[in-house]
Amino acid sequence: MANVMEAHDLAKRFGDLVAVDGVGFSIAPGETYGLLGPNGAGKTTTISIIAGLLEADAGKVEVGGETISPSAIGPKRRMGLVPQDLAIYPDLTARENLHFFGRLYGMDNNEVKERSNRVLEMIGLTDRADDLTKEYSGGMKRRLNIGIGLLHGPELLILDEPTVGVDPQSRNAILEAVEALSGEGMAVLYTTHYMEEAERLCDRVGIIDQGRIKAEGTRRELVNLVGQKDRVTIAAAGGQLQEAARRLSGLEGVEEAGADDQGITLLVVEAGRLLPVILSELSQNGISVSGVTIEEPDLEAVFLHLTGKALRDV
Amino acid sequence: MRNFLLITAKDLRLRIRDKSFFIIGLLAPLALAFIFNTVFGSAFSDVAEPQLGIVDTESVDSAQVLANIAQQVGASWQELGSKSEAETAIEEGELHAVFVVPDDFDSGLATGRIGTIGVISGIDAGITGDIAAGIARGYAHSLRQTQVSIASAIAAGGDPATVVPAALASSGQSLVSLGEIEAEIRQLDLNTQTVAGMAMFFLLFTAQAGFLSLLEERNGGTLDRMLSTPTRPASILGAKAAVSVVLGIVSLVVLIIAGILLMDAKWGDPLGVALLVVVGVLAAVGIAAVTSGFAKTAEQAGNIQGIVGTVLGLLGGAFFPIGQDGGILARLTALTPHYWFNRGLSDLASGGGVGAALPAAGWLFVIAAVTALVAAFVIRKQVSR
Ligand SMILES: Nc1ncnc2c1ncn2[C@@H]1O[C@H](COP(=O)(O)OP(=O)(O)OP(=O)(O)O)[C@@H](O)[C@H]1O
Ligand SMILES: [Mg+2]
Repeated sequence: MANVMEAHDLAKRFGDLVAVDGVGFSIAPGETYGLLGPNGAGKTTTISIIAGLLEADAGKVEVGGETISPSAIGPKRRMGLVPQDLAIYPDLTARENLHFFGRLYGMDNNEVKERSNRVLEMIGLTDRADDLTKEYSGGMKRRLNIGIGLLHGPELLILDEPTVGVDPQSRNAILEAVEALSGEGMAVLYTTHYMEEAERLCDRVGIIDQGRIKAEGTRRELVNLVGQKDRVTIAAAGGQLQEAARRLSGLEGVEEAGADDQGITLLVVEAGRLLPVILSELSQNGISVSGVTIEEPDLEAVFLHLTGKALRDV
Repeated sequence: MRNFLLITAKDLRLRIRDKSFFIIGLLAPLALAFIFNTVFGSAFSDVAEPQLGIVDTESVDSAQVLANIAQQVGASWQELGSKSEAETAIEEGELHAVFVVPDDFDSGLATGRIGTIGVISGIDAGITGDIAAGIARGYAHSLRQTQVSIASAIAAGGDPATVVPAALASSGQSLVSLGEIEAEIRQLDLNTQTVAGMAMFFLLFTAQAGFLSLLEERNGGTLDRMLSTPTRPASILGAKAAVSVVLGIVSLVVLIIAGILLMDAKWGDPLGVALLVVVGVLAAVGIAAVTSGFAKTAEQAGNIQGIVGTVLGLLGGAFFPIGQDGGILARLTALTPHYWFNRGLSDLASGGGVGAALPAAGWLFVIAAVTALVAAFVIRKQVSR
């Protein structure tokens, strides 16, 4: 199936500052794509170009096969934007906010009513739907901010750091909502500077810094790219642990193996794939395993590796 | 178009909800007009009703004509026994101006001679003295025009005793429509003028409502959100202007009605007033659009408009009348919507139909068109990034 969104070689300067510099990526239906980068990396600028708010200096964006620009009105229907900063009317109720933006998307009265109810349910604001939003807590406003973006059932939902400044409970609700929508087949573009969110939600991640995508792929691919290994710690007893470790180190994909009287510690390329082999090897040698922990290298490590910022920070 | 209406409706709802419109658009101008009127009303009140008189004369036909004109311009009328009696009345402030018509004025007409009508007025008679002089001048002027018909009627065997009074009466008729005098007697009464001045002064602020909300939305993120929907920037801009126009018109209409009910203000021909209201609002919205185009925040726009509105209000005579006798100030005055709005209302109040308001309405429209043109350049950037 064709990609929902394709961006090619996007570039944007603000005066002398190069905010976006040759960014390109695509998102398939049902895929959640994460743009992971620090403050000022160019995430919001990239998103603004994709959403047709900002004219790019160079490059091209297509959504559903239609070219995006600020003056191209039609394809905007295919997208829903959740801006980084709250974009709701404080003097309207949640329902009125939803209604207004829903109508702008071309929904008729009945449709917008029905969908609003569903969205209010989803973002947990049904009880407060008819209160002015200026009376809401920060987390409630954030949830409404998201609800407006997905109200019209876009093919591509764009969320710009939707969890910043949100309490853990609201944050979890937001992440769950995104997962649910993605499960229903919505393509999602998600920016964040939280590694855990990118890891949890995103099928693929683009690591962006100083306006450039430094690397892109599934978490696994990114980790492999920088040659990071998984650490597998096996709590075990009985048998010859040292001997078992030596034998395991001969397996393909195992980089290092060591043992002490608590168990065995391994550095492996892909723990998920190797673990069954390792476990059967151990049981054949009469070693009973009481627990396994896998520490995968996280995107943080990848990011530091890619941008070289860790070197400077140290 | 659909989104234009949706945004307009949303904005009107917000403006009514946050009550700013009631304060700036309705309450403040009414309250200020009321205060101005109470404080300054008595000082000017005699201007509203000119007190004229005439020294007893044998030229009864002309005396009658002058009395009629005085009545038509809303002046009180008094006959005095002698010139010295008239001078005393003026010195004591009982009268503003007194006509002195020679005894042989009427009889002279039959022989083709037009005498001189004198006007005695106090030095502080101001406008009223000018009105009296204008009436006398205008009367003499129109007599010169009717002179030919009088002469030919008498030559054809007409009786001077009937021909002359008839001609005088008809010249008196035409006199009232003489532009020269009209300009001098064209004065809205003070209540009406105060309400009109305040209304236009505050209209400049009410007319900014739409553009202020545009700037607020720009900084508050909802503008970006609207732009991310299938909505044309022009629809957003149009909706903001429409909000200003609607609120401006409502504010003016309410003030005009309240002026009638509460302050006994007198407006003229309703159709003409409606025309002035519409073009007056368009001019105010145009000015507000230009000033808002230069601002980065709503607060800034409000400040700029505060300065512009006050300067225009002062120049336009919203607070106190500005002299009309040439000079740089008088010329600048003609650049303000206040001046033309007031002028148009005065033209209507002095009894004209819609046509009387056309010149002022035309100038207001010019102000609206010019500012709209400038605004088209400066405010467009406010609806894009
Ligand atoms: N309108 C603008 N004018 C000038 N510079 C801008 C503008 N918008 C963004 N920038 C600059 O472009 C760079 C990228 O900004 P951008 O907002 O895209 O970063 P971001 O990745 O979204 O950061 P954050 O995580 O803080 O939201 C920054 O250096 C920013 O200062
Ligand atoms: Mg950002």
